Amino acid sequence: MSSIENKILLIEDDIDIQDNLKTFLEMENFEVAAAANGKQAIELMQKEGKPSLILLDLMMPIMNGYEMLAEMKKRDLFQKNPVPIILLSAATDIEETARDQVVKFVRKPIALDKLLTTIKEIHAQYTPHGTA
Amino acid sequence: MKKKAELPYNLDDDTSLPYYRLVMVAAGAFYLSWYFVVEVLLPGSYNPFWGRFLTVLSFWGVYAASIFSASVRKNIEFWFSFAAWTTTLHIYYLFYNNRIDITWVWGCYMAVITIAALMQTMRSMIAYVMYVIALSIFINYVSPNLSQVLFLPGIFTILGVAFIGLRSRLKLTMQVRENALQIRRLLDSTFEGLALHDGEFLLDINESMAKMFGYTRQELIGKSIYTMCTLESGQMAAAHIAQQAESAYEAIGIRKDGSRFHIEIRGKKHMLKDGVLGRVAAIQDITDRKKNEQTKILFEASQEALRIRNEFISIASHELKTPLTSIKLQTQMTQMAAAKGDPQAYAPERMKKFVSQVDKQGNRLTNLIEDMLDVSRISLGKLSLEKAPTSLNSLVEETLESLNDLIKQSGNQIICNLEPNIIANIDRFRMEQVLTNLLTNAIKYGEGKPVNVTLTKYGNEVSFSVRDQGMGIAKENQERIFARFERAVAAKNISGLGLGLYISQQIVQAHHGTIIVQSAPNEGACFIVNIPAE
Repeated sequence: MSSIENKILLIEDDIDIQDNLKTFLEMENFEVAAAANGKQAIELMQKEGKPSLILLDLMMPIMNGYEMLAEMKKRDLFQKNPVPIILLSAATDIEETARDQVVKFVRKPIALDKLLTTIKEIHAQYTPHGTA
Repeated sequence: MKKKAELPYNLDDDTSLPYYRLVMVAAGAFYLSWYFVVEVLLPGSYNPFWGRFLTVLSFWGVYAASIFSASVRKNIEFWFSFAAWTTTLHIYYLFYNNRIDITWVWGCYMAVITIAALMQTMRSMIAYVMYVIALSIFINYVSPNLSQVLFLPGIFTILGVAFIGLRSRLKLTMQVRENALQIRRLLDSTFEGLALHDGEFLLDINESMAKMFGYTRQELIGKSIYTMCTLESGQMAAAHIAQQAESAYEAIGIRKDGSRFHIEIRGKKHMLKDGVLGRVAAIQDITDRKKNEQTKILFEASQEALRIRNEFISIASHELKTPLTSIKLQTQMTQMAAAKGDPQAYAPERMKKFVSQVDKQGNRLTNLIEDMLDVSRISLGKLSLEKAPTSLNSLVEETLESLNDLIKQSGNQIICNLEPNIIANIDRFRMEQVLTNLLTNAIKYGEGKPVNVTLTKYGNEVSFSVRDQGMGIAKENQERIFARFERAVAAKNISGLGLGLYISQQIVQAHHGTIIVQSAPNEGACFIVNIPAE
């Protein structure tokens, strides 16, 4: 498995949603890596480097979205130049603790056109090379 | 049975009754005995027996009447006076017929002063005094030589002395009475009921106590305290009394009309007269306090129910959104492809995959909703079972059949060890739910390793078990997994509300059975269900 550096890291526990989103993003010519929970995601990031963008689900087993963010802070993972995070959730609002790290909050069911626009905007803003 | 009461102070109106009764019996006996004294000491006197006897009967007759007649008891002062006047008249009669002998003058004086001293009230005293004065004036008129003996002045002096003596005595009595009344009024004024008892029988109570229990004071005095509360309360009271405990405790009192109410009792030991140890207790009606407690409990229960419902709604809405998200992703992707002009947007291969995915998510939604409805039914107590004798063997086979696709996909091997002809009285649909839940869990967490299913019967019970060889369940989680919304490890392919085991347990328990898990980390898990065959 190649490194996740500069890829979109999709962290989502539901296998169907994960597959669908990955397929969609790859169809739009993004490179995507996936993790099924916060723990897996952190391990991936520590091992393979910084992703260009994180799509983060909140409700996951073992380590959920909020726990992962807290853990990232704790391990000082990319804190100086943080990874932009889009929160995907069926919940209705974001906890205070996460607000500073989260760029955008996309509610489920996901509106793909909006998601696409947001990703493109973020890439243009945050990365040296945006992917078309 | 009522016991004769010995009260520390007694203010009832008929206290004087025993006094009068004693006096009347004694006076009668005494006056009768004087017949013999006169016969011996003053032989030859005019001393007819029958006259005296009839006079004595006036005392004894009133005494007897006071036993049978309440009206006599109520007016005992009057009837006593009647007897006293009769006796006085007899004495004057004897006095007159004995030729006003000097001895008889003294006898007259003695009788008058004795009787006057027996008077208990000012009015009966005054009446008697006036009566004696009238008698004396009359006899003085009829026997002029009485004036030589200065009979009248003597009588007046005696009556005067008796009058003064009585007045001071009455004043003292009034004082004591007033003090006692004040104390009584104070005791009666408390909000709590007060009771004095000897360990079993009530000796004295205050007005609040009587009112609380719906009796009159008279009815309660002498009553056993154990007739006024429930059996358990009585036992508690007995324990407190035996240990001379001074702590407050709650009990249930029984009123005169049989109704029950909550009370709080607090007692302590109390020295009765003659060194006998009794107990005094304060009793409070805590019906209101109990009602408030009840209201508070109900309120908190309803708050808890609301909290559970809200939690449920938030978890449910999240879980329901997941399959919907999948469907929406699929439909959006298809539409976006079509919008871009992709000729393959609705290609048959793509559509086939799409339809199967949507169907799959639709099933997920259905299962979720059914689980939610089951939980709702369970919480409303509406999980009704339709039991019928069912072959468990065929149930296991059919369930495995319905899970065929899942089994093939996951590659688990299912090994069955079923004893033949096991039949039990169960709700087929519901038990299939349990079996499906256990099997899907085994497949989900079984890590691809073989799953064992057994079915057996012993005695009056039927037992089936599902064992996997997967990741196992840690001891601390083994109870949690049966609770609502709990999962020891979250689902991967089949999401859910974490309700499966909760519902399974409810179904098994509704069949009066048990479901248990035997497991250790990395050693798989074995779920065993036992249900009565009937």
